[in-house]
Amino acid sequence: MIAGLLALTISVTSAQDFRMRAPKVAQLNGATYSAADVKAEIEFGRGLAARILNTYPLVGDVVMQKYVATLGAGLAAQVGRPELTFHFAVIDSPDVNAYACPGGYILLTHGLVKLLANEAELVGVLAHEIAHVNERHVVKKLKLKGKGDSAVDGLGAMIGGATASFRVAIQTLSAEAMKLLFEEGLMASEEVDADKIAIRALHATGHDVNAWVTLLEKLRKNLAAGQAKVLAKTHPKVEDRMQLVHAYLKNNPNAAGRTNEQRFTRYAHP
Amino acid sequence: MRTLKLAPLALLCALTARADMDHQKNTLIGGRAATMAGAYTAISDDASGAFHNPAGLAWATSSSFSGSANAYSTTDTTYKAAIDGRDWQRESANLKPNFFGVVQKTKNQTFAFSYALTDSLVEHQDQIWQNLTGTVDPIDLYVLNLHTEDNTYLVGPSWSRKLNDKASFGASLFYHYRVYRRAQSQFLQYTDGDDEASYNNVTKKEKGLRPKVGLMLTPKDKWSVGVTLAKTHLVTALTDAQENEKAKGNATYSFAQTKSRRKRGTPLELETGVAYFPSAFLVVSANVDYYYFAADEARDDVMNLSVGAEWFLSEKHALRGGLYTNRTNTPELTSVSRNREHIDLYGLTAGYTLYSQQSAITFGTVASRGEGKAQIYTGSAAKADVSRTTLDFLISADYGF
Amino acid sequence: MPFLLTMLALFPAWGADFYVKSLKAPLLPEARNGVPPIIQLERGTKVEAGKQEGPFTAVKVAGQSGFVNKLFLTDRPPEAKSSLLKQEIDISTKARRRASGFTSAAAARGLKEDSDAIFKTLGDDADGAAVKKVEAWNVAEAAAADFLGNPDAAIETTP
Repeated sequence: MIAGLLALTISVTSAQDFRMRAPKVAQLNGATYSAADVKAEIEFGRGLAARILNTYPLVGDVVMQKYVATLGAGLAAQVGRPELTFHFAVIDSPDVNAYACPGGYILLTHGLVKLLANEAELVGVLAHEIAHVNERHVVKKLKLKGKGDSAVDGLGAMIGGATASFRVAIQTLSAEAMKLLFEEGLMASEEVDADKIAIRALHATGHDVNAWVTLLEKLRKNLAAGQAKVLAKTHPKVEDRMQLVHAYLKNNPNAAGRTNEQRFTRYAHP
Repeated sequence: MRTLKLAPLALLCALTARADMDHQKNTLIGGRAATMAGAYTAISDDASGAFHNPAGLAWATSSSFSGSANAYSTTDTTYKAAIDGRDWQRESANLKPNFFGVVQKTKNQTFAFSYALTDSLVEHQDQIWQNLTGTVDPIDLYVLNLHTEDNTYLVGPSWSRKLNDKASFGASLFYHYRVYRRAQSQFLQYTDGDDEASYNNVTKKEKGLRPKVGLMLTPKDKWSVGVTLAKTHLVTALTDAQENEKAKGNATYSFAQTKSRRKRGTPLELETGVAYFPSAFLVVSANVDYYYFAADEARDDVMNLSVGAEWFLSEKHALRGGLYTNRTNTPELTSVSRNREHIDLYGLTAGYTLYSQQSAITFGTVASRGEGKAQIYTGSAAKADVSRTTLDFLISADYGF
Repeated sequence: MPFLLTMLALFPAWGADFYVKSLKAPLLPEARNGVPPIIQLERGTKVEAGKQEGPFTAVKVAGQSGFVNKLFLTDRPPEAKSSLLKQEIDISTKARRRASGFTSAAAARGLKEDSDAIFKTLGDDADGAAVKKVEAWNVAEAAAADFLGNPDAAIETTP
């Protein structure tokens, strides 16, 4: 509830959304989603992940994949939605980015993994993506774009349908989701929410919150060098993201923890 | 104290009650808007936005329909010491469905269709006074029967679209229809054996168009500013009055009928509002509304103010409240004015809404009170003190789809 | 005043029931990491929540008092895990229950018979085989949580 209320108070900050009152915000935050909603979300997320993997194949290093999958599953066990099974993989893309598909399918680019220096930075990235799934950001966004603006599970109706119109609807929705992840990005407020949860997750699991600072520094250098263009377009400014973590460190001076560089280097940067 | 002779048509023109053209905010439209005292021009993001500010429809979060009714609406007017030192009290009470609207959102535009009952009065009075000795000619019996209905309906479509993330535009075009009917009979039995009687019927019908355009802006995050412009254009107006009276000292009745097509002047209405949304749980808003009459109309320009707030206790329960003015457009009474009433009303509103997944139900109350002066005697500038109290209990329901 | 009451409403007073959302949550004697926990709370444990201290919530559970990181708590009871493979998935009654946010874990995690339907719908745009490969790398929660918490734990490197 705390995370939900946090989202309630935070999510309505963009020019359009501040008008939304509490009942609508709660509805969109998924405070009342059903098992059928979750089922549809997982199915849709699987499909979305399959689309991404069709474009960017899996990195062939199985040890690295298992490392990321195990670490991610461990983190999800602590901070993820208990009704979901989260899946993690690294895709063969030089971009610096990560994609959180509904239902818990989380894909990191190889370009991002190469940028990381230790396990704490990786945990931070995984936590950020888990937060997007927890808060159902993509699901809500697609529902916003859906044909009817109703809170009724349009996804489930479409996935369950066998007719051509349903198939076209799913394909269209899936294409919109790809555009959302690869071009448009989520709302700045949602990225801020995910950052906040990532910072808190690092602290909660005993990892060094300063890893988030070093990660953002690297992203800033990347952007300055003209790389990570898509990330720049789809995420808030690094300076704004830095402010968040600095504020957290100021309020929680004991937020240093482990970075576990050794294990990270062994499995992710052999 | 010398009092005035009570002529048969003495009270003819003092029949301004709730549904009157002397005030602009006789009925607050829509459950949410009404319980926020009508301070809604900068919010208007639901079906009642069609009436308050069509630009707000662009911000509605879903298609919906909404209906509200004043489940019990009363007006109590007291003219103090009006008849031989005694108060004359008039009451009206009715149930009035005040709004129904449907909003349909498409990808880029929002459409609505709505109906509003902006003015409504049903007044029925059967009163008897006996032994009036303070009048010029003492009266044994004075019987007054009065039935008045006055309803103004608006019905029509609205359209709105966002210009960008921070601005929207909207327009409504309402068909205006007003029907006023009054049937009044008076009988006076004088102590000297003579009597007077009058039977009087008036019907007024108006048809016209009421366009309203609106703009809504987001000058800064969490702030909204709205402005609207509207005017009722009467296309046809017909007044048909019939009188049948027998004055004191006469043995026979005289009958007269008059018809008029004169259209009353209607004001240019400029409404401006601002709202601040500090969180998903709270919004506070204010309106300043101006009504400009043409110079040749015997009406004063009016400014009304209203402030309102909506506070969510949780995602299921909300409380609302507000204060508003409903000032008169009649000029101050003078020694040369006749049959005029001048009362400024001040009101407060309160409401509670229960929300569920897709619907909401609102219960509320709107109350106003004012004191002023009224010239209730035909041909006389004498003023009576008058006080008016209105009380409405309203109920409304909204369903989103 | 309304704002103050709203802010108060966001934070639970003593007596508000919360549940452990994470697989395991340490009940700490102080509101900070790095101290040995009093006990480890299991997922689904009900606690009585009190005041906030930074990212931690004071809680009372099983006669003990301590602090739990807020991120490990939720206001609704999480569904218990069920077996993915054998249990019949019944969402007929639970699926429509919305108000308390209950979800059917079995329904959520189980794969229905035509689980490849979404891949068929997306056709050549989707690589379903790759998704199944990713799913096969899954590790049981308990083992994964141990791996996360123990910096010296290793993974199997044989392919």
